[in-house]
Amino acid sequence: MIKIAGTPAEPQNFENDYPHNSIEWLIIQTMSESTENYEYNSEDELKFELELRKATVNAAIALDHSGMEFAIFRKSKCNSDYWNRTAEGGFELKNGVSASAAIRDIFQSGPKYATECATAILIVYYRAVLAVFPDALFDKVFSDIQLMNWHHIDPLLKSVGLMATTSGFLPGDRRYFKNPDVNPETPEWQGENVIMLGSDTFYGHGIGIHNEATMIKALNQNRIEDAQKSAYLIKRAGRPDFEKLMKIRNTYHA
Amino acid sequence: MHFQNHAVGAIGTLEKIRSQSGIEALKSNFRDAAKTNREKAVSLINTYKLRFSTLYILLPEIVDLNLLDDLSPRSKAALDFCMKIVSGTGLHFGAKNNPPENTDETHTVLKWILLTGYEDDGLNNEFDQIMDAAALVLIRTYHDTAILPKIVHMIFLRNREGYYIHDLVWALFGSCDPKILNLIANHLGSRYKQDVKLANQLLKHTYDDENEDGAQKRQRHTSHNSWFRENRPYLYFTEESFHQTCDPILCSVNLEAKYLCKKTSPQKQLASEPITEDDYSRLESYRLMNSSDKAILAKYSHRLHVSNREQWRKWMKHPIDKQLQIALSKLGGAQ
Repeated sequence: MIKIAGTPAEPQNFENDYPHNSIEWLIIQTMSESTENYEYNSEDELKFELELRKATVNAAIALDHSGMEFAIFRKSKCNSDYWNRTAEGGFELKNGVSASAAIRDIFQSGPKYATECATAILIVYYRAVLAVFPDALFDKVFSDIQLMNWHHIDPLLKSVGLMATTSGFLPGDRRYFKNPDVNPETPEWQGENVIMLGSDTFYGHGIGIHNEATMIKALNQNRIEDAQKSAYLIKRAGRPDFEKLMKIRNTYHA
Repeated sequence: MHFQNHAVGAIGTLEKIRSQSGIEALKSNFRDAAKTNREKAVSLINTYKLRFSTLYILLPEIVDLNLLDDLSPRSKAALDFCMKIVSGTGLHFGAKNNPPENTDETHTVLKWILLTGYEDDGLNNEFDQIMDAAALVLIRTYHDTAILPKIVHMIFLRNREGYYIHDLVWALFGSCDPKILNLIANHLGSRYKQDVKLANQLLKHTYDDENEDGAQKRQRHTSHNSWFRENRPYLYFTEESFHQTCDPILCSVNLEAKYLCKKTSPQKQLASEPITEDDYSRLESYRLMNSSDKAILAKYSHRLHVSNREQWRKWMKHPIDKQLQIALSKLGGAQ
């Protein structure tokens, strides 16, 4: 159920704002049918979340199409015009470089980059926030980005790195497929970090855009011989702190 | 065929050259030796005293000099494993010279790689990847827990240098061996801030201020030891990892098992002793309590169980609210 300032809100209230085939409408419907309460202080707060969730889905699809390669941290690569590759295999924003330009470059120069799935998901969230923040604000807020799975994560995106148990899942959520019987020679297949794009569509870097069954099948192909346990989608999600991000955007004056 | 056992501690000719004159001298000496006396060069590389890191360093020379097929079975198996990890395919030996696939021998080879290679961890990215893979297979496939102190050593050294540790941490906690918590806790008192920070991050149950003085660090280690003694029977490993979350809870206490005083299997979040009908009934009430009260009830139950089994049986028969009331009054400031 959606509640705005403590009052239940019906999906019909938003019919004029979002077409029935839009991601936002799918999110509104899912929230309305959920047993979980989605509570907002204002309609603007809900709309900001819808905007950021849609931007997340779009960024995930764009990253999938970008040509960025899959690589383990030891073989990661980045465009040195914008990023320094760290000893761990992460990417650190170069001094004096605009964070917004550096994030955009990953999508525009995909083949110059290679990393693994968790870092890709973090890149998706940075690109989504960039879509809803003015460039100057993004550059100010994220002046020292480090891209290295969930390590060194910016406090503003930390809740994406953490995962909480939830009864309902929405497009734009960060989720995780776990592969308990993974072949230890290929630890990169111990799980797949994904963005939920629709009710049964996920983006995972290295696997692509697929449904749950295909994601599981891909992971299961990288298990030990005589594996007993299948990969599975865990019932937890990581989400940005929508409220905090909206406050930052709304209090920004160029 | 059996591989000769590890030469940990023994020093061969090639090792002496490397330690005294460095890697480039090692390579040129080996190359010169092979050109003048091929058999001698082969015997140098096939000595049981050879360390894996030396074999790894000399691999380009071995390939160039066409010595692959002359290597000992141990060296062949080690290099085959390396190539599989680094490039996804094994080495190509002559038809009759493939390395053996016996699992005991593979275990021995991987242990040799790790035990004679870990001191050179940090040599380069590829070498470290091989160390990671050897550790992962030894722990997850062969359940070899004897190497755990070396793994902890590597993790903390790498962390000081800012190198990648996530796969090694995953290997370590994949052992599901509670003794790793004590190996990590040994770093709580380290003079290196990075060590203290990482130890806290991995152990979770302690505090989060790495700017402590020596006395505070010792106190923290003492606190860990008492925590470990009390919770050891109820610990389990969660299988969370840095791959999944920025703040993984790698190991946790099964509070329900602690409340019932039933030992837990470290591999599963399940009590390893039988649960009776009475236990299930007690758990129904226990599960309705808030998390703080659950922790108090579990702690008091465990302590009473250890100190006075008869009193514990009586206490367990009380309704849960009465149990909590007694626990709160007895624990007092010791919570």
